[in-house]
Amino acid sequence: MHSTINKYSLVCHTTKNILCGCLKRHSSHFVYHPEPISNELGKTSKKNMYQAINNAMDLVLSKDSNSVVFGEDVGFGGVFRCTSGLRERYGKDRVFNTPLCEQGIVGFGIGLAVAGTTAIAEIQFADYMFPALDQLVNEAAKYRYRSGNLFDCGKLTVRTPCSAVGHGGLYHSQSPESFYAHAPGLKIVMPRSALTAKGLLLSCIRDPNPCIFFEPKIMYRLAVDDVPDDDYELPLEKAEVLIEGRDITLIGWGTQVHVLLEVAEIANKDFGISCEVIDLVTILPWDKQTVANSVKKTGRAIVSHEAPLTGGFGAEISASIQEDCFLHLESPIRRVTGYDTPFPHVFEQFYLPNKWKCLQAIKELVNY
Amino acid sequence: MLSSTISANTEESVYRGINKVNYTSNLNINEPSLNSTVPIFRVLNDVGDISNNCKSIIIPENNDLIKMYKSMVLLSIMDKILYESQRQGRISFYMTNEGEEAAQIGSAAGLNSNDLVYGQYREAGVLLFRGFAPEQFMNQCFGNVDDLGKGKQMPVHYGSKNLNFVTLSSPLTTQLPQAVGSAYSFKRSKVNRCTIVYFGEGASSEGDAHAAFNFASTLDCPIIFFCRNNGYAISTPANEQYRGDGIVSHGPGYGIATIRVDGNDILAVYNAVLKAREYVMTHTRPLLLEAMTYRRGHHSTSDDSTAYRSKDEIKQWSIKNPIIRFKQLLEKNNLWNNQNDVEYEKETKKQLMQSFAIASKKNKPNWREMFNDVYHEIPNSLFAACIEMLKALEGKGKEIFFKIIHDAYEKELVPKDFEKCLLIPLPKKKKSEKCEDHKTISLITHSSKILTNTIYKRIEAKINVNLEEDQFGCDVITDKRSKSWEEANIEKRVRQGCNLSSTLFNLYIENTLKQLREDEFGGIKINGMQAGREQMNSLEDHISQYSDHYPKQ
Repeated sequence: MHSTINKYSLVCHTTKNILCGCLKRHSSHFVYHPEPISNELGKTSKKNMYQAINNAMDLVLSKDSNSVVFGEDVGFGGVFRCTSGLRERYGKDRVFNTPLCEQGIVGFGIGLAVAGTTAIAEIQFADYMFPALDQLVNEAAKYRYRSGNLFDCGKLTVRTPCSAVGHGGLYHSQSPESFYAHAPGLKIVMPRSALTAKGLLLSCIRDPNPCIFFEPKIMYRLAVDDVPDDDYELPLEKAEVLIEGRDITLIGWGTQVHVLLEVAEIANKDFGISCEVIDLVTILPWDKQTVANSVKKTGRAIVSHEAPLTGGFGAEISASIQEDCFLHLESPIRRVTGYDTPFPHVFEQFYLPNKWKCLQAIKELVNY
Repeated sequence: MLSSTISANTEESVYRGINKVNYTSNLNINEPSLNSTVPIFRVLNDVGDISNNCKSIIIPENNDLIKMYKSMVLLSIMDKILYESQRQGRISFYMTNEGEEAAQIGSAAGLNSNDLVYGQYREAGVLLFRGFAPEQFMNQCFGNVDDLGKGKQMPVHYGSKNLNFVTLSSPLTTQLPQAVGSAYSFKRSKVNRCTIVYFGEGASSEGDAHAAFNFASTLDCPIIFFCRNNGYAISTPANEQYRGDGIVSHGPGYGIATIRVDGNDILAVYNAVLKAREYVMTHTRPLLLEAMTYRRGHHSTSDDSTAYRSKDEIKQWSIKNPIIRFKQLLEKNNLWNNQNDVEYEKETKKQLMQSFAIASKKNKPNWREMFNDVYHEIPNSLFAACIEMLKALEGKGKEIFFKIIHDAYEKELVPKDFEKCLLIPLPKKKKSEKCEDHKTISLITHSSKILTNTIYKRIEAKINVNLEEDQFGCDVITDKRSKSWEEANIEKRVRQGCNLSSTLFNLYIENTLKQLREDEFGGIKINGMQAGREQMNSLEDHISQYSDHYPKQ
């Protein structure tokens, strides 16, 4: 789908012009790179990410009569509008509010899935999912294993908004993916765009394993793509090489992919450094092979995520790269991430691993 | 001082949070009524008589009564055997059901067989009543090859898809909101199923209990919450777990109907669950049932309950043994007697001991099972882990392998695994369809490859010193010492990939060459010419061509 830097740089300038007005309030730290327009998957229409997600759930509800969507404030459309119109279309026994209780939502979802219902749960913010940690880690992740495959909750998908939004502070900004990455049995996915959100969410819902689908909330309205109208699925456990390059591999997921895409453009234009940009897409189980192949070629790697440095998923990727690519490395592997502090409100722009921090790291590694 | 008047007017609520409004001018603190308690429903008194006041209760058919009784006895005998086996170190862990047999069997009897059961961990009786065989319990406790859970979990973590009993997990109360979810699913699909979820009074303190009660109520789920209030959560007595009137008192707060029942009275539990089931199905509402009972056994084999409760207390409850209570009823109705008891116990013990012996001897599941069922499919990372683990077997693996080889040597029996091979048909020509148009190669198994390699390593040194220099193409030969090798007997052809093939060939041909060397006028005729040993090229392929012409044969 993506092979040249030119495609991206072209669209990126126009988007910048269109969006710069509305982004001022949030003083967004990245430039959204829309997906290249393609008719491969049929007719498309302009959709932002929440509309694409809404569309994916709409398709599931219309095709699978034994599927339900639920969570806090889901009935009226959800605080991010992802479920808007669904209750009207499918009835309140299929699209409904639950009491305000995350562990209840996930536990309830597991039970639905065990009984054969396709369960799409919404946790209003990833920051608030921790009460459900037990249900996710001890229950959902281990259901199939502990029963010798007698029972499973593969029909469960938990959707939840995550990551920086410009003004979210400590409890509306976190990217907690690495907490869940320590629970074998879960699949953890984070889309980078409206187009990938729809395809990946459909894959997660239909995947026979319990999935957590992290939606970078800043992109709900900001990310606008030409999204195919049809039903399509994008592969899980498969990283995507968005830009091919020679000198250094940049690995990210979610919003951070767009930071890295811009960094790659600047590095190329201003310093003649050729960057390979990889969207990891699936955090667990992650695509080691694609990352290793790339780093063996470029000899350098930067992993970048919004979550804090220590114990972040970048640590896992870095460790894995040095095991697989040791003799190919030209420089140390670098993590450019959020700091080991809570996510700060007014200091958000300092906290985030923005393009300048990434660029600095690239220069240091290339001249190492 | 302002005079206060009481308004008794109840009107439609303007508040979203309550249904009716009733204003008052009295500032009252609403004290919980600690003195009144919800009564306990019972059918049988302590000596097994049906209370005269019991109206419209259902007494099961005689056969069913006997089945219920036998299940209770079977459960208690199985408990004794497995408890003792843990004490002897034969299984790693166990939890008995002692004292709670009536609550388990009575409730199981009141359900439909397709109602989905979520248990905590002390509900073996429910599973037993549904038809889980004693050997299935034992297979699970041993984690052997026939354990339905494939050896993944500690003992007593049973589960059965066929019997609609969801596999247990150790975390407490997590099963409650899940059971609510399943109930919602059944409600939507209109399949006339409900769920029942078992838990203790201790588990009721977890947040998941609150979540489950609230979800079940607000989402109108057909579910029976079955609380076994057995007095203890490990060592913590119930009065340190809550201050209200037991667990049943939670019901009204959630808008959930309740029943409190004597958990040691099997007929009371049976009737309560029948009624509860009818209620949840007709109203599509949850019901909270609290069975008052007593955990007579220790919490688990890792617990000694005499550290926190008196022997007298336990003894007092032994008198209220639910099995004896039920037996008295059966005796009074001439359905059972002591002689039946003795015979049934003897027969049951014998069968259970047999099952135990069989289960204990079964193999553990294949080690590869460790990597299965994490996901629906095995991810790449686990394939890699599997290979890493094999490599790391070095130390322990060597020991195990040594024992296998040693046993094979002692018993002069090669393990069956080693004899297996994989036959691969190779077509002789294109589009071969018939059997005779194929030739086969037989691939050696991994285990025999390891064995042959081991044998090779062991004989390598000896062979090398006994081979003549002219076999240079096959190995390095320097030392010519005593020649002690007899003729190698090859009874069958070696298989493809056998590490010994070249060595065996060398041995065989060495013997041939040796005879050649000793025979002054010997040699091989090639194209009518005599080839002496000087002309011999001992490379395998050449020798094999020559060997057809060996004059002595």
